[in-house]
Order: sequence, then C-alpha cells, then structure tokens
Amino acid sequence: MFWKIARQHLLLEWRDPAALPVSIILAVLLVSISFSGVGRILEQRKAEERFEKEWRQVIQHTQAIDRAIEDRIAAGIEEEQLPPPFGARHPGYPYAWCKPAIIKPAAALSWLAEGKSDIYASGYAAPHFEPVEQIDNPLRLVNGNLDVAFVLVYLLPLCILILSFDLTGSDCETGLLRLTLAQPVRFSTLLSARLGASALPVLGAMFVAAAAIVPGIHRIRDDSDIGARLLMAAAATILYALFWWFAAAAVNSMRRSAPVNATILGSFWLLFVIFIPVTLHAAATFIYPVPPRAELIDAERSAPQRVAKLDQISLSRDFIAHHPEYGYASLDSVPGLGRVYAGSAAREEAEDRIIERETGRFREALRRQEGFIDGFSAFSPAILLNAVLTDLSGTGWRGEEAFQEQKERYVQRTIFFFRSREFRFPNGVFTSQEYDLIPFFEFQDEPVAGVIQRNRRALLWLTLIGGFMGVTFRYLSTRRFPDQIYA
Amino acid sequence: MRWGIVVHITRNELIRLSRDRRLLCAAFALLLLLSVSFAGGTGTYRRMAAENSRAQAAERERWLNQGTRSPINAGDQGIVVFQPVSPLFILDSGVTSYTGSANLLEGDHENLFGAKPAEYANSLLRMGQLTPARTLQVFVPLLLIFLLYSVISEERDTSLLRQIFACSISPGEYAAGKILAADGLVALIVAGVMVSFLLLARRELSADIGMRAMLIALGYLAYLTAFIGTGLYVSARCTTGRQALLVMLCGWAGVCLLAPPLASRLAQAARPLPPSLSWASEITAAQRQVMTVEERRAAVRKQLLEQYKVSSLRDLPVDPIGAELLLENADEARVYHPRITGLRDIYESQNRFYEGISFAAPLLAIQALSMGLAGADTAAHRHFADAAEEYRTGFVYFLNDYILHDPKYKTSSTFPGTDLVITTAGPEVWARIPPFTYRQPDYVWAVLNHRIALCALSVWFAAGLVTTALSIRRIGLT
Repeated sequence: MFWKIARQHLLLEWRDPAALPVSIILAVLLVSISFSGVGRILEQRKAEERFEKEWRQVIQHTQAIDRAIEDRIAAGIEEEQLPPPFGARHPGYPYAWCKPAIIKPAAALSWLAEGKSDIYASGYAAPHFEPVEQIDNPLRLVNGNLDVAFVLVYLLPLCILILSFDLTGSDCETGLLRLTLAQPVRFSTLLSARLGASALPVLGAMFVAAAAIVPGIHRIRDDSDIGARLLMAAAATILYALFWWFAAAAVNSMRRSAPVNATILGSFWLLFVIFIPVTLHAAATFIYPVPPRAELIDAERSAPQRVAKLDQISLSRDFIAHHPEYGYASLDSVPGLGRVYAGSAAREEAEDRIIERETGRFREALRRQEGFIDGFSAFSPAILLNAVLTDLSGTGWRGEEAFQEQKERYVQRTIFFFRSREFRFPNGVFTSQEYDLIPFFEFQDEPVAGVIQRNRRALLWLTLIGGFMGVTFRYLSTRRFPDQIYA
Repeated sequence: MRWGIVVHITRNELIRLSRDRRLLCAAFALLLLLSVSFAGGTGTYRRMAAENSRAQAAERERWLNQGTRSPINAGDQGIVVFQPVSPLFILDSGVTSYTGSANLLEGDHENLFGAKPAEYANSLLRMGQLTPARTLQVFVPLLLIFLLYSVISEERDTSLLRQIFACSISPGEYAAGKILAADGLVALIVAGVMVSFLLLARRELSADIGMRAMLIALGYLAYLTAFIGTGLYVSARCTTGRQALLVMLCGWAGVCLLAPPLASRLAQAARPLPPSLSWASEITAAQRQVMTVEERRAAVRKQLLEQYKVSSLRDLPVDPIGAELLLENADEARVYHPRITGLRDIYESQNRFYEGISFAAPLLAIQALSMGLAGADTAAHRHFADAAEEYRTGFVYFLNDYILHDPKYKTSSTFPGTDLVITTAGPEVWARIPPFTYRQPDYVWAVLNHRIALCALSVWFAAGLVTTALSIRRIGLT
C-alpha cells in the first residue's frame, strides 16, 4: 500500500505546477553557485601564485646582487666591508624586504561555505607583514555570500515546505481524507508514503547537483581529505533536511487545512532560520561586547612610544635571557654591534606584546561570543548546519584562528632566522647561499579527523532534533483525531 | 465607485483579519522580530555614538598634548577620524559593519577601510544581523503573503464571490475595499516602526533626519503597495488558494532572499573587482615605478641647489628633507589615490548595476534607498572618506612644509646631508592643525545618488497599481 500511495502522490506531483520547477530551480542554483565558487577559487589561486612569485623574484634579485658582490670579492675587485653597508649582504636588508609573503590560500571548499573568508586578510607581506586587506564591495558583503551553504540553510527548507505543506491538508478540507481512510490504510502509512514521494524531487535535485559538482571539485583538489569533508557535509545536510521533512509531516499529522499548515511551517522557518540566530547574535554581542576598534588602532600606533619610555638596557637583557635559542648567555656575550640589534629586537618584541595584548582582548571577546553561540546552537538546526559547513570549509573563525597560529609560528621562525644573523655583527655578513635558507610559509590544512571530531556534537544535535521531530510526527500520525472515528 | 460600500468592505476585511488566528500569530512574530531588531539597532547605535564621541575627544586631546617631537613621527602616528553615526542607524545600519566608522589617517599614504567591525564579529553576523529596515523589506512581505493569498481565491473557491457580486457590489469596489484593508495594515506597521524610531531617537532629531525618515517611510509604503498589488493579482489569477500561496512564496523567496546576493554577484561579474592580492601586487608594481629614496634625495638636492643658486646644502634657506618629504608624499598620492579612487568607482558602478536589477526585484530598490537615506551606504562612506583624505593631505602637507621652512635648519649642528630630521614641533604647531569636522550631505544628495532605485521603486509602485486594476478586471471576469 505504501508504494501504491507513494507512486500515486508522485504522479500528482508530476502534474503539480510547483514541484518540478522547484526541484529544477534548486538543482540549477546548487550547480551554478558551486561552479561559480570553483571559478572564484581558481582565480584566487592564480592571484596567489602571482603574488608569491613577485616576492620570490624580490628575493632572487637581492640574492643576485649579493652573488655579484661575492664574485667581485673573489676576483679581488673589491674587499668585504665589515660590518656590511645596509644592502644585500646586511641581514637587516633581507629581513625588511625579502621576507616571503604569507598567503592564506583559498580554501578548496570555500565554494561550499565562504564564511568570513571575504572579510579576513588574504595575506601578509613585507616589510612588516602588513595585512593584504580584502577589497570587496561593502554592499556585497552586507548581502552575504551566494554559496551552497546559503541555498542549503535558507532555501532548502523552503523547498521542502513548499512541496510538503499540503500532504493531507487539501484532502482534509474536501473530505477526501475521510474517504481515503475508509479504505484499509492507516493515516500514518498514507502520510509517510506521501512524505517519501514529496521528498523525492528535492532529493533528486540534490543528487543531480552533487553528481554535476563532484567533477568540478577535482579541478581544485582531489584527495581523501576533501572526500571525507564532503561526506560529512552531505550527512549534515541530510539530517537538516530530515528535520524539515519530519516537521512538515508532524504539522500535516494535525490534519489542518493546507493554509494553516503553511502558516505553521512558515512560522517554524522564521523561528529556526531567522529569529533564533538573530536573537543569539544580539545576545552574544550584548553579553560579550568587543572593545571599540579605536582602542586597537591606538594601541598599534602608540606601541613604539610606550616601549621607548622603558629602560632599554634591561629590555635587551630580558630579551637575551628569554631567548636562549640565540645562543647567548647574557647581553654582555653578544658581540659589540650585535647588541644594538638585540636592543632593536627587544623593542620590536615589546611592541608586539603590547599589540598582542590588545588584539587578545578582541579575540577573547570573539571566542566568548562563539562559545555562547555554540552553547545555544542546538536550538536552531540552521545554526548547526551553517556552523558545520563553514567549519568543514575552513572559512570560519576557527579556520582563521588556525591560520593565525601557523602565521605566528612562521613569523617567529623568520625573525629568529634574520635576527640571529644580525647578532653576529660586526663580523657576520648575509651570504648569497643564505638566501636559499630563508624560510617560506606553507599553510597546512587541519587534518580532517580533527574537524570531524569537533563537529560530532553538531551532528549529534542535528540527529537528536531530527529524531525528536520524527517521534513527534510518529506520535501525531498514530493519534486518534476526532474525525478519525468516521474512518 | 460608492465609497460607503468600499469602507464597509474594508471594515469587514479588517474584522475578518483580526479574527484570523494566523494573522495574530504572524503579527506576534513580526512584533518579536521588530522588537529584537530595534533593541539591537538602538544598542549598537548608542554604543557606537558614545564610543566615537569619546574617542574623538580623546584623539584631539592626544594630538594637542603629544609634546615636543618630530612632525614626521606625529604624522606617522596619524589621526583617527570618525564617520558620524546618524540616528537613522537604528533603522538601517547599512554597510557600516563592513566599512567601519573609525578611520586612521596615516602620514604615509591614503588607506582603504581601516577598521572593519565585521572582522571581530561572531559567525552569526550574516545570519543574525537584523535591522528594522530588513524586517520591513523581507518579513512584512511574508506577512502580506499569508494575508493576501486567500483574499480572492478563497472567496472564489467557496463561491462567496458570486454571492458578493450578486449584492450589486462591483469588482472595483470589492477590490478597493480589500486593498484599503491591506494598505491600512501596512501603513499601521510602517507608522509603528517610524513612531518607535522617533521615540528612540527623539533627542537627536533634526529637520534633515525628520525628512529622511519621512522619505524612508514613503519608500516602504510604495514598496509594500507594490507587493499588495502583485499579491492581489496572483490571488485573482490563481485557480486555488494553495496555488496562490505557492506562487507567492516562491516569488517572495526569489525577490527577498535570493535576489540581493544574486544581484551582488551579477554586479561583480559585470564590473569585476580584482582579487585583493592582485590589487596589492598592482600597488607594489606602481611603487616600483616611482623614484627610490636615493633618487628622490639626489633630485631634490640638485633642484634646490639650482633654484637657490648655492653650492652647499648648508646655504639653502630651506631644509631639503622637507622638500623630499613633500615630493615623496606627492609620489605616494600618485600611487594610491588613483587606485583607491578606481576601486571606489568600481563599487559605484557595481551599485548602479545592482540598482538597475531592482527593476526586476523591488527589494533591491528599497534596500539601496533606505541605506542611502540612513547615510549608511557606500556612497556616504565614500563622501566621508574623500573628506578625510582631503584633511589628511592638508595636515601632512602642513607638517612637511613646517619641516621645509624650519629656521633651525640653518643653525643645526647636524650635518645637512644626512636623512635625519632635526625639526621638532610643539603644542603651538599641533594646535594650528584644526580638528577634523565633517558635514554629512543632505537628504537631496542621498536621494539623487539613488535615482535609479527611486525610478525602479516608482515603476514598482505603478506596477502595483496596474496589477490591482488587472485584478479587478480579472475578478469581474470571474
């Protein structure tokens, strides 16, 4: 009986002017948005390559100058100058101008969820690792990203509701439901069969879209890591869709008219997709406010002045004491001119500490806000799905934090590389071979196991919420309603 | 038309709506959304306004009391200026989260957006940013859909329409009554929003803000009237209530949810912006085209020695480093200003394209107009940024010129061939640089800036009226 009803409902859907266009629009949207996202990633990758190449060329150019000096010295045309003048053989010069750029590569899954990748700096470059700010049109930023996550979080539930708000409503109004239930069929079977049939166009659209998207992804990256992430995204999406299907079925089980069902389901959509995220965002911002940006600007620009007021000798002593990796027991053991550079390194570090302290306040406020949202995210499947998709894509705040950590480690490595050579002064020069040793930054994606581990909770919540809706549907569909006594 | 009958139908419709539990639910949801959005908007506005005014005063204080120091260092530290936040921010915060209101004007060169609050905003920024304007743009139309889809189709389904027409009521009177009821409801919502705004911003009101608020209210009435007309037409056209609801819901999702990001993407495709890294590369390449410090130094010294017909730098009446800095600044302006202006021109061009698409989706028109009138759009930010850049150019020129004409140069013990800046300045010099004052352009400027959106909204308003007339004809045919 189940299959008979499902087939019948599918036939009705085929004739329905809404079902086919809705599923076609959904599939077309998913495919076109994914491909346009892939196109953007490829364009971004080209820009990254060009940018990195330019900085490599700067290094190669300075190295060639250094090599020419070495050749002239070897040929006896000129003598080595100690300490070298500020130029290719002075470690301070490549330290300022030959630091390789730090680039945050476009995430391979950013077509899935762009997150905040269009807000965070896309790279950092010499002389002081200044951020390369994003230059997107602010109006586009306000309107949000047209990515797969947008379609799945906002439009997918609407498609589901449009196709399943009237599984039994019209029949209830016309009395056809009573006639149907007079046959040897249970209401729950009828509803389940119709629900299954109404789910097919949406599932079909998603399947067709996935089949079309997968070959496109191979153009970006092709490894098991991406596969695992996509599988997890698919699982979260299915759970999210199940929640809405069960919600639609539960509302239909109450045997109200189609318009009433539509109103109730529309309210559900408003509540879970709009109202709860809005309230959580407002509450998080209110409870854990981020300090004014002017304070960060002020800290950044006044840091040198504040450091200049400190006792420079003890600053240098502390620096050497806290950095045994430079290989000096005390400031006195640093060679004459090297002490000047130790002082400058100590000042630089003290300035960084001041800025870091200020930035830390901002990061801490953000972390608390995210923790707060995370704590209440179970109230909205939309928040859960959005968080999972963004985290899997590596374009959210967690991805940015991971990038910042790697960047910071690299910056410290670079500083050590150049500073340790400056400390050898007055007897050290930066040779042309040393240019080949300059460390380069390479962003390492977080292992997929860690991402899965982190998102297990969200998936569990999606399962529980969906399960709760399923149980509600089951309970309501098997409950005897007053009109059923005629059945 | 017999207006008595129209009023009667309107009253009847309002009574029917007030007894409809669906409407009560929808009204409750709308009230919740508006309350949350007003609370969020007011809180953010008050915090931002207070922080900006406090920081602005502190910044001036710092500038005047920075003691005796080199003007070069003072310029490098820069001055922070703040884009004034209009009370209309409560209604529509526009692009402020992505442009920031605090901008650091550095001595070196012009900058793009200095401090974007979005950078330190939580992950729900885009999902959870709701303003009263967005509620009116997106969710009131949804409420209207639930009110309108059954207005005609349901009465036709139940054959009530025939009975009504049998009572010598014309289709025109019938439709007018229905429209008046819906319009009355919309007017009530818009009036409620505006009254709430006026109450919340009562201390900061001015004639300009009042005018802007009134224009915003009129814009929303036109926008929602277009929705009512279209909704009525769909209801008259569709054979069943279910079909009408489906068509309207799909249309709403297309216009209110999908259109804004899609139109932005289309605008980006039509007037593409380079990736940020490419833009940064372009600036680096342009910087390589200007003179190096050494080349500039040699050129300036040669020119000054020739100009003043002296053979030694010591004999120059001006400090060559001042001249060098002035030239360097002009070079930097040549690198940055055309590129930043070019970028902002692309934004403008994209926004015009975006407004052009609003002929197909009314939400884009009202969104642009509402942001513009609230003084929170890209054009307003550009106006502010241009004024700030003018100020920056002025104070940097003043500081460099001060170095150029510093009389101490002649008597300084420092050898006048080094790149050391011997000039120092004190409080009297800092005080000669006036504080940054910015006057927001008036509402006429804002409206003219969005003339395409205004045209589109007018077309949609007219279309709303036309579709209403078509609905009446359709009802008559029924």
